[in-house]
Amino acid sequence: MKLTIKARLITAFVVLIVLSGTIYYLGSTNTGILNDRINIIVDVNVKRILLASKAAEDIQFITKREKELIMTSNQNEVDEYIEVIEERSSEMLARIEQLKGMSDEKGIEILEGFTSNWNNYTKVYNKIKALSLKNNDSTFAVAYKLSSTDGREAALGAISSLAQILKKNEGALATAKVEADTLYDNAKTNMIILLIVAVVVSVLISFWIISSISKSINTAKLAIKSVAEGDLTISIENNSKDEIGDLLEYMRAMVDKLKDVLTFVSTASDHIASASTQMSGTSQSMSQGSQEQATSAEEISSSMEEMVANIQQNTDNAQQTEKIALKAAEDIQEGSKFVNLTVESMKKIAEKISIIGEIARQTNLLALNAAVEAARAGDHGKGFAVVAAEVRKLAERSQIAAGEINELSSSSVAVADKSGKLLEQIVPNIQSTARLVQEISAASREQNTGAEQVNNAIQQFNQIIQQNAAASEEMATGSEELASQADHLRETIVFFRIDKGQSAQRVSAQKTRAAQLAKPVQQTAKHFKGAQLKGGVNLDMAMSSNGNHDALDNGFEKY
Amino acid sequence: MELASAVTQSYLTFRLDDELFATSVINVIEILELTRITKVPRSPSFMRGVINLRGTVLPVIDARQKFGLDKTPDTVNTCILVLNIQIDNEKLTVGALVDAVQEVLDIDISTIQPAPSIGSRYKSEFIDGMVKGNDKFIMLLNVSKVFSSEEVSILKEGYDMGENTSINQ
Repeated sequence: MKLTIKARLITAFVVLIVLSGTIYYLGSTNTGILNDRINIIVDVNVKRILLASKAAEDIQFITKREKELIMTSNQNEVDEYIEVIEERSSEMLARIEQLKGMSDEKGIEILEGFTSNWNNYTKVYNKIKALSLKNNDSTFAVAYKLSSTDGREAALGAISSLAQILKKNEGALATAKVEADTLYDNAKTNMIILLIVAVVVSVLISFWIISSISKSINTAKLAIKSVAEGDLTISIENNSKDEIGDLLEYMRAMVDKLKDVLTFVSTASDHIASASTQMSGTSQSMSQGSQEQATSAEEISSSMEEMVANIQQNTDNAQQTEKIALKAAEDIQEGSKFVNLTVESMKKIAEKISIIGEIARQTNLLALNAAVEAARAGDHGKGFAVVAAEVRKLAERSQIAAGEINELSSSSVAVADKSGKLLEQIVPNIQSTARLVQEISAASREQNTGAEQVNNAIQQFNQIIQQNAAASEEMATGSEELASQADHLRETIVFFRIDKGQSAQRVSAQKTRAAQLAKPVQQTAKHFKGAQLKGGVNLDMAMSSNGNHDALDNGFEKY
Repeated sequence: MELASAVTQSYLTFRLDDELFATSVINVIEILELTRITKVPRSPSFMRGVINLRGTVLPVIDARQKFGLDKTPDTVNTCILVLNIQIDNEKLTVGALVDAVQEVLDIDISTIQPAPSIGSRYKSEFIDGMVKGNDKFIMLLNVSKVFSSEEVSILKEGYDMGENTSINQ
């Protein structure tokens, strides 16, 4: 059965409470009994005594007034005394009645005796009263006699009855006192016994609880002490099944878990160390990468600048082309006008030529007529005939020439017309060319701004690359720091002994390994710093300035 | 040149359609440009009408139609040959519309070849002969034979009528 400390303490307290309760109960009971007794004494016996003595007093008062009644001759006094006596007598009777009510059998018997005596006295008194009311010397003597004999006897009898009652009740009081003493003694004895029992039981229970707790706590103390000293090899013995047992159980679990954690931390710190080395390498390659990136960005930047210049030239050229095209369009329009004028002129020439042709034809006809006339004149007309023939020939030639000119001029007109039309057709083409060139110009301008933006972006890119380079340097430093922190961690956890004789071995192995790990990290950092000092984008990869080929450069081919 | 000293005769050559014709200059009075021709009603189809030649009425015949060629519109080269024709000792002046007048040629009579009698489109009776020209034959017309007596009378009528009517124009 699992008896916890709680249960034990509850049991102990319950036992003690029960004992205390018992003591209280006994004391309370005895006190109650005593109280009852005292009550009885006070309420019954003392009251009886009181009532009896008061009754006796009344009787004495009454007998005295009776004597005075007898003695007095004053009628007023007689009435007064009678009244006082009767009042007092009724009071006394009431007291007797009260006494009778609280009396036992024996008391009642005594009181009956008293009552008979008192009745006798009342008879005597009534006689005295009657005599007193007559109030003369003869009655006085009779009354006096009555009073001193019968009355006195009856009154004494009544007083003796009362004295009996007093005596009886005094005896009862004495008995009550004895009883109370006995009760007190018994109660005292009982309570002392119970107190002793309670003390013994308490001591036993406390001893039991303390001994069990202190044993477990001692075990726990030893375990905690060894853990505090870093010894996790301890084995915690646990036999108790109480809270402290649980505590020890948990502590064992804690130590086991701590062992696990420490093993894990040890492994993790190894991993961290190797990871930080890798990280250092990675940050170095990142740094190299960012250097290359920076060079590339520089190249891109210069290319972009060239491109911008080209685009600028394109824009200028396009603008010039546009101007030229517009000029050409204007010129062509003018040319077209001139061609039209030429056509007009040609047409006029043709008209004029046709007039010449007409004239030639008419000349021809005239010449023919002349020839006919000459022929008809026979030999006389021979010379004229020759002239006429010549004239006709000339006319014919001029006619033919005119015809040819006409043809030529008409064909020229057609050609000029056609060329004019063609020129007119060319104008919109050239205008659209101008527009297109304008668009090209606008596009080049946009291209220009775009290229500038790209250039800006590349500049930003360059900055970012430099930041990256700085960041990778920081990363290298960070990884170095990480490695040293991992060493610290290992050194710290060496404090704990997990398995016997293992920790020392591990420490030495780890130390050598940490040294190995730290080396490349430092080397990397050094290299990186050297590179970084050269600054910015144009990194001198060969480091020819100081002629100091660093060891990492050996990995690269030389060109 | 024996032939050069031989007998020559002057001929006026003119063109109808694609053919060259020639007539003796003796028959030719003058060559006129085409002027406005007044049409004569109820005249034969080959007769174009009459013109006013310096106050006299000159009947004009269409040589193309007379020779049975297709009717073509007049050109600037179309001329009127004013001819003297003689039929039955009756002299008559007529105008003939020709496509073009070429030149006055002196033709050696010996070179004149007789007109073919068969296969010609033309009535050989009014062709005196043919002469070899530069590249084609020239048909020598006897204009007096071109017109029949009947036609001449019509022409004469026209002439008279023209004389009576066209003077006022």
